[in-house]
Order: sequence, then structure tokens, then C-alpha cells
Amino acid sequence: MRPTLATSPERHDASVTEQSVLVGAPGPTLQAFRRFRRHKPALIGALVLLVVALSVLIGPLLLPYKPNAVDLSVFQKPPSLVHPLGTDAAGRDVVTRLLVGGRVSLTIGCLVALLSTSLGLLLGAVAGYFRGVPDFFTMRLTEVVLSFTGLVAVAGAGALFGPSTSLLVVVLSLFSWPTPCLIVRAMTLSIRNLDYVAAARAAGASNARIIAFEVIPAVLSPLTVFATVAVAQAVLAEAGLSFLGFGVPPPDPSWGNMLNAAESISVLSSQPWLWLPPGLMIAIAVLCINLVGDGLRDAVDPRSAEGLAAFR
Amino acid sequence: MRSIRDRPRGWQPSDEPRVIGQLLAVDGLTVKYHGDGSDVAAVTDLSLRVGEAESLGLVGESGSGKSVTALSILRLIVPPGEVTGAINWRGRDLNHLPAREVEAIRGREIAMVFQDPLAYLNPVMNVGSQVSEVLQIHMGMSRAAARKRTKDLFGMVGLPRPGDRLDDYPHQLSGGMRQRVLIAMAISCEPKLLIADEPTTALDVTIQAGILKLLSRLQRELHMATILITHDLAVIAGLVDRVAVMYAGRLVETGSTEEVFSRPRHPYTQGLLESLPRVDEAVGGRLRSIKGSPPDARQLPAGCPFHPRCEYALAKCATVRPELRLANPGHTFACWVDIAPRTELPATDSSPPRQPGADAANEPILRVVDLKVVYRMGGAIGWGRSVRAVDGVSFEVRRGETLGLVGESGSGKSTVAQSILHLTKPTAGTVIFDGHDTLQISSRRLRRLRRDFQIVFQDPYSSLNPRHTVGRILAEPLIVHGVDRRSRDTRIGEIVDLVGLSRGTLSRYPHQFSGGQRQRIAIARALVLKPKLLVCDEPVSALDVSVRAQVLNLLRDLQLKMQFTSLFISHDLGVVRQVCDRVLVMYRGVIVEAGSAEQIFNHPLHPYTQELLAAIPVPDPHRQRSKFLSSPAIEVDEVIGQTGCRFADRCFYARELCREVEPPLIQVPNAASVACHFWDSLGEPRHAELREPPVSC
Repeated sequence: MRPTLATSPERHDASVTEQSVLVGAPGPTLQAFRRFRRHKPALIGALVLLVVALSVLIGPLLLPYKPNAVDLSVFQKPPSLVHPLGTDAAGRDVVTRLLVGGRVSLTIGCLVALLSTSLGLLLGAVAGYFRGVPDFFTMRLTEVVLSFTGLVAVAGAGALFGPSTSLLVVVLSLFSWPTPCLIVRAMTLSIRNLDYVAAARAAGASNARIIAFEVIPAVLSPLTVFATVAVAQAVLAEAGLSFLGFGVPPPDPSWGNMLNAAESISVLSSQPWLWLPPGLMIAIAVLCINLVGDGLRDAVDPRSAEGLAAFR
Repeated sequence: MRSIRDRPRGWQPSDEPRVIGQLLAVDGLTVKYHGDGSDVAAVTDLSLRVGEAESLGLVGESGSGKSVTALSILRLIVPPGEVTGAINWRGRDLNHLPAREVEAIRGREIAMVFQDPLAYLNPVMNVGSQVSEVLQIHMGMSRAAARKRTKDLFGMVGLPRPGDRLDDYPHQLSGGMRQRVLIAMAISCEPKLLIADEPTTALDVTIQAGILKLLSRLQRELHMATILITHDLAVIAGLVDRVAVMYAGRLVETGSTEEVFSRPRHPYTQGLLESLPRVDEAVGGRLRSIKGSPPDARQLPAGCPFHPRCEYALAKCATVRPELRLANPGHTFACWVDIAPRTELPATDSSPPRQPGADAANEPILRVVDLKVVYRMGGAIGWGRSVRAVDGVSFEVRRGETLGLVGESGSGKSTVAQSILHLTKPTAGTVIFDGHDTLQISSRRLRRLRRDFQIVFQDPYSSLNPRHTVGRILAEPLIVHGVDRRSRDTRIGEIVDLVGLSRGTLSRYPHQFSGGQRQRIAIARALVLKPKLLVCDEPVSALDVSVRAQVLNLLRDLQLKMQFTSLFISHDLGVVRQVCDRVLVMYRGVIVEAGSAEQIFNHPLHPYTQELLAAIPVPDPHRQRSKFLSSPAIEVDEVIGQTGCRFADRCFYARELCREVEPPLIQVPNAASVACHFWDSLGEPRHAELREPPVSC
């Protein structure tokens, strides 16, 4: 005997199955964004970077000076109302050069990060997905590249072809793709064994399609973290090389070659307005980029943040 | 949340019928996890009693709080988890004892065995030392004495050649042996209480049967109390005195095993028992199932947490939560409705009986001839040994039928599926699908042919790309096969309706769905191309028991509607019995028996099939218990790579011939095909060499 049942609005239709979906749970990207927003240092870093980027982009348009305009009447002047950060040995306005130099430095940083990460992504995904021969050759190539010192190679290339900004970007990229490549390859090796990749193959998708739609989206978010840090590294590499005279060729300014002036003891000791601002800008930019990278990592992989949360 | 103090007066934890001395008394146990913003209660107001030498089965599905309960008894809950309530262990409250004193009890008086033995054994230390270490620390034994005792323990838990096992490392042992080592470690200090959390879930069914027998013997001979935690009622049927069923962090029913199994009073318990696919009787039609899926602990329904899934639910159930009340002395349940025990399955199932399997006259849609898959292990350049995962398998799948492929892990059943679908490249053999020799055609034509054979994977968590919406996932096969946008949308709409999901699900991501719903999505993806053959690789083994029956019913309904042929791979013979027309039994890469479901289940010819069938636990306390008393419970020490019959080492009937000549698969007139030399003259089992070792303490 079954009990008689009161018909109630609470009774569910038996044909409707499993309706207990977590309503309103956001997609993975939105979730990561929300986690990023909770990361205070990263948020501050992003804000400062935004200010830097905007001033570097718009600033030079508002200032009356040209970055390379020589004015011998005002050389080596300390900061004043007319020239807030003074002028250099050729009488060029330091503020203008700082902002335009920032454009150059940050552009180089972003381009190198973009190029090296894309190259690494492509090679790493192909090596990890197909394994075997492509994997073997890619891995040997990374080993070769990793055993060179990038800075020396750039210096050598500069000596051979003469220093130029585009050469700098290309050579720096050619020497920094192995790291993202190894990251992507390692991730691809595990992704390729997941059932959803098998399902795509079973559906008839080609290898190229599987790499593009199943593998790459999964490695993309961890890779952005790497790319962010790569920008900072490239900015530093540019500064180092330009300081040594192998980077951005003068008279074009960059934060690195502005530091070049500090090679002389007299500038270092008596004209701090020439080297302090670019040095500070490099430090601030790199710090902020790394903070953002940190926040991105925690946002993309919440587990990495858990340890810290428990510590707090 | 209520505390212990404001518990209603009328309620008494009076579920202790045969308790001589009380060991453990849990009162008002609540475990909360503090998340950002909100707390999640994993266990709410739970009270339990365990007496000396008594065994309790704690049953529940994923997220029911059963494991958290066990961990909190051992005080192993770490922040952000918080435990409140009293855990009285022989007069002391474990929840408020200093950590040092709990450590002395943990392992010494209360020991635990976990689901995955590999994760709990140190991979760089031999197992003998790992057990001796426990004895040295807790019992203060000398090294030599501990080692000797460890050897005795290994013998006791049925490890073959215990002396040699001492110096083995975990990776050298099989899954069953590892679990035996963990059990040896747990009982080494002669604990008063052994907690086993899903001790057999990761193991094959024949290995499981051995471990269950061992546990049953240890209970009897060591007089220790046990708490067995499981999602599978059949596993504990013969092992425990009392059963406690948990749902959504609360107890919903407790009682003696006989009472709960024969007269379940809570609709959930009743549903669980009825939705178990039984191997001992064919239902022939739809399985009974519980609708919906277990709730998310973050969004528990108001009132009785089970009411949205309950077929008896009243208006009251949605608002007021029922407390545990007494059914009989020693039998409590939490439900407003007095459901009567169902003696037979009610006639709610009006759908036609299962389509009688396509008769032999039907031409085969898939023909597999002498399929071999050899994996090379290690060695990039070609050295290293090779493993014959599939070693000469031939069979046919006839149009319209459901063919079951059964075997334990390592039998090669999934590899067969993978090679049919060309997800793994076979080493040798022929696969003819619908007239095409799929190993010979170009990869372009193969890709086009793929729309006709699709697969549903075991794990719905890894088979759906977490970065795509459900709509995108379902569209992918259609895009690949060049279906235009308009027809794509209609096809996706149709299939979503067919698998019982709402259209609103299309814009959501996989992580927003439960396991059962994800498997529906995976089924929809496989069927959206309207394939002629659907390969289901363990489609329900990753799902909760109450959801399994739903998905099996769905597959059956879809097969009737869409008229596809199905190759059903499973280790669960109960499931296979309910859904398959014909069955192939695989053992270590070969087919040992093939026949109709009726033949295989009612008249198994091969000793392996017989062992497999005997090993399956059935939700019947009496039958289960008598099983434990019958045969020995020793792990078989297998040698891999011999000549002759692969099963000979495990076979009770093996003779000279079996070890020399591999038996071919022969057709027995009016019965199944079998690969055994002596199928017609199997005498008395000869387990002289497998005598049970004596238990000595």
C-alpha cells in the first residue's frame, strides 16, 4: 500500500530530471576576473601601469618640446619650471624624452613578450600534442637556445648588423621563447590525454582544430601570466642592453639609453635628474607588471593562492 | 544552526539494541567549512553510537558528509573546517582533548583504512618498514620484534608469501595487496575501532570480494568494532550489524541491517536499494530510479533536504524538516510520511520491455577480427618491454543490439573500444565498420566516417572542456561535419530535449552541472550526429548510485527512439545484466566467454565468469553473509607472461594442460562460446594450496 499523497505545488514532475543547477555560477573567465579584482596589490599595480601607459601615450603630445630637439642654450640645466626634470647634455627636455622613451621601452617589452610567447605557444603545443619527432626536435632546439646568453647574442647581432630597435625586438624574442614553450608543452602533454580531446577526435576534428579549440584555450590563461612577467623581463633586458650601448640607438630615447648618461661619474654625482627618473620608471613599471602577473596567477589558478590565504 | 542544547526533548538516540559496552558516542556533530562570505555545513547535528565489537555501515552518496564524519571522529578536520558537538570515546571527548592525547588514540585505539591505498603508502619505503614503524612507535616494540609481528600481520591479512612481502615497495604490489598492507597497518596495534572509508571502491570486483571477506573475518576474530563507509549498500550488506544512511549531511535512517534492507522506512533508502542494478535478477525494462541528483551543500533545499527528489513529498516536506523518529526499537528514520515497505516493484513502469536484442539474422554493423594492441613501455628508441593490452580479439556487433564488454581493470576492454574508434592505433587486426575497413581508409575518409560511431566516456568531468559552454560543446561535432548554423541549432535543441536537459543549459559551463547532468551532456554530444554505433565506456561508474539508474534508463530510451547499436563497456556486471543483449567477458586481453546475457548470467561456463559473478556483492544481508563464510580470502599471487591459459594461476580447476596450451574460444552447442579446456568437466575446486592462514594474535 502506498500512502495517498496530497497534491502540492512542491511536487516536481517526475519527467523533469535534475534541475538543481547552480544558477548564476559564472564562466571560468569571469570567475578569474572576480578573483583578480580581490587581489589588492595587483589592482594597485594595474592602476599605476594604466597611469604610466596613458601619460606615455598622451604626455608627449601635450608637451611643447620634441624629444630629439637640441637646444644648446639650455644644456645640463637642473629642474626648473620650464623644464620640470631639467635638460641633458644636448639641451633636450628630460620629461619629453622620459615619456617618449617610455613608449619605446614599453613597446619593446610588449612586442618581445607577444612574439616570444606566441612562438613558444605554437612550438610547445605542436611538440606536446604530436610528441615523437616534432617533440624531439623542439626540445633539442630549446636546449640549444637556453644554453646561449641572450644578452651576449643581442650584443653580437648589434655588432654585426648595427644596432636597431627592430633587431633588438627580434633577437630578444628569439632568445626568450623556450620558457613559454616548455610550459605549454608540459601542459599540452597532460591535456592531450583528457577525454575531451579524445571526444573531439572521435567527433572527427582534425589535429589542427583540436590544437586550436581544445588545447590552446586551456593553456592560454596560465600563459598570460607568463607573458606579463615576460614584459617586465624584456623591459629590463632593453634597459641593460641600451645602457651598454647595444640597444635602442641614439638619438631616439628609451629608458635604457637615457641611463647611458649615468656612465660618467660627474653626471652620476651632480646631475641626478638625468638618471634618476628613467631608473625609477623602470623600477616602477617592472614592479607593477610583476604585481599584475602575481594577481593573474592567483586568479587563473586559485589553488596557488590558497596557501597564502591559510597563512594570513 | 541548532546546537546540542536545543535538541527537541522527545528525541532520544535510542538506536543501540545489542550494545554491550559503548565505545563511541557521537552527539550533535556539526562540521562547517568557513568559506568567503558563507559557511557550508558538511555534517549537521549527527548522533551515532558504536558498541564494542559492533559494526556500523555509514552509507551515503558523494557530498553526504560520510567521510567528513569519519575524519572528525579522528579529529582530522583542518581549518577552514570547524567541528562542534561531542565525540565521546570511552569516556573522553575527542573533540576537546589536547592534541597530544588524540594522537595517542589515533592509530592505537582507532585506526583508519582509506579508499586509495597508494596515496597512503610511502612510495620510497618498503611496506614492511612502514608497518613496523607503527608498531615501534605505538607499541614500543624493538625493530626485530616489530618486523616479526609485521610478518604475522601480513599472513593474517592474506598476503601470499608474507616474509617476502616485507621488503617490497608499494609499486611492486597489486591494488588488492596494497589495501591488505593498509589493513595490516590499521590492525597492527589491535585497535578497538577500525574505520574503513570506501575500502574497496578503487578495486576490481573479485579483489573487492577478497577484501570484504578479510574484513568480515577480522571483525569476527579480533573482536574489534568497525565503521564501514560506503556509497554501495551491497558492499556492506553482509558485513555490518547496523546501517546509518546519510543524506545532505544528516542521518536520514538508522537501524539493524536486516531492518533497513528488508523494510527501509525513508524514501531515500528505499530508492537507493531499488536503483541498484542487481546481477542476481534481471529487471527487464526500466530500472527504478531516484529523480534529480544529490544537492549541493551550498544550496540545500528548505525543509527536508530530500523533498525535491522524493516521490512521496507532501507540502509540509518543503517547509519543515522532519527529525529522526522511531519506527521500531532500534530503527529510526527522518520522514513525515509513513511509507509502507514495497514488496514488489510497483507498476509505474509502463514502457515496453527492452527491445529483444537484434536476432542473429541481423547483419553485423561492426566486425572486429583478431585485433591486437601492443603498448611499448619506456625506452624512447624502442627498447623496453611491450605489453599486450589486447591479444587477438574477434567479435561482431549486430545492428540494433546492445553488446556488453565486461572485464576487470587491465582486461583490455577500454583498449578495444579505443581501437574501434581509432583513438588508439591497433597493432594488428581488422576493424570493419558498416562495410568500411577503417584501418585501411584514408584519414580524411575516416574523419568523415566518424559521425557514424561515437563514444561516451566514463568520467564526465574530464570529457567536457571546462572552457566551452554546453552549446559550444554540442555544436563542435556538427561544425566539424559541416552542418550549417540553422540546422545546427535545431539539432542541438532536439538532442537537449531528448536527454532531458533544459535549453537554458546551453549557455552554461560544465562546472555548473552535477555529475549526472554532465553525463547527459556527454551523451547528447555523442548522439547529436545521430551515429549508427554508440560506444559507452563505463558510462555510469563515475556517477552516484541514485543517478546511475536514471542515466541507464536514458540510454535505453534513446536507443529505442534513435535506433542505434550500442557497445557497452563496464566492469559492473549488474549494470551489464540490465542493459545488454549479448555479453563478452574479457580477461587479460582475450575473450574468455561470449554469449547472450541470459546464458552468461544464468549458466556461466568459464571459471573466470563464475568467479566474477560470485564476487559481486548483492544487497541482501543473508546471501552476502553466507558468501563470506564459504571460500578462502587470500590474495592470489599472479605471474604475468606465462604460456597457456591466462587464468590458470587464479583458476581453482587448473590442470597441466591449462598451463601449457592456451584454450581457443569454442562454441558450445546451445550455449555460450567459451575459452576453457575443461568447461564441460569442471570438478570440485581444488584450493588445497589456497587454505586460509590461521589468525593468531
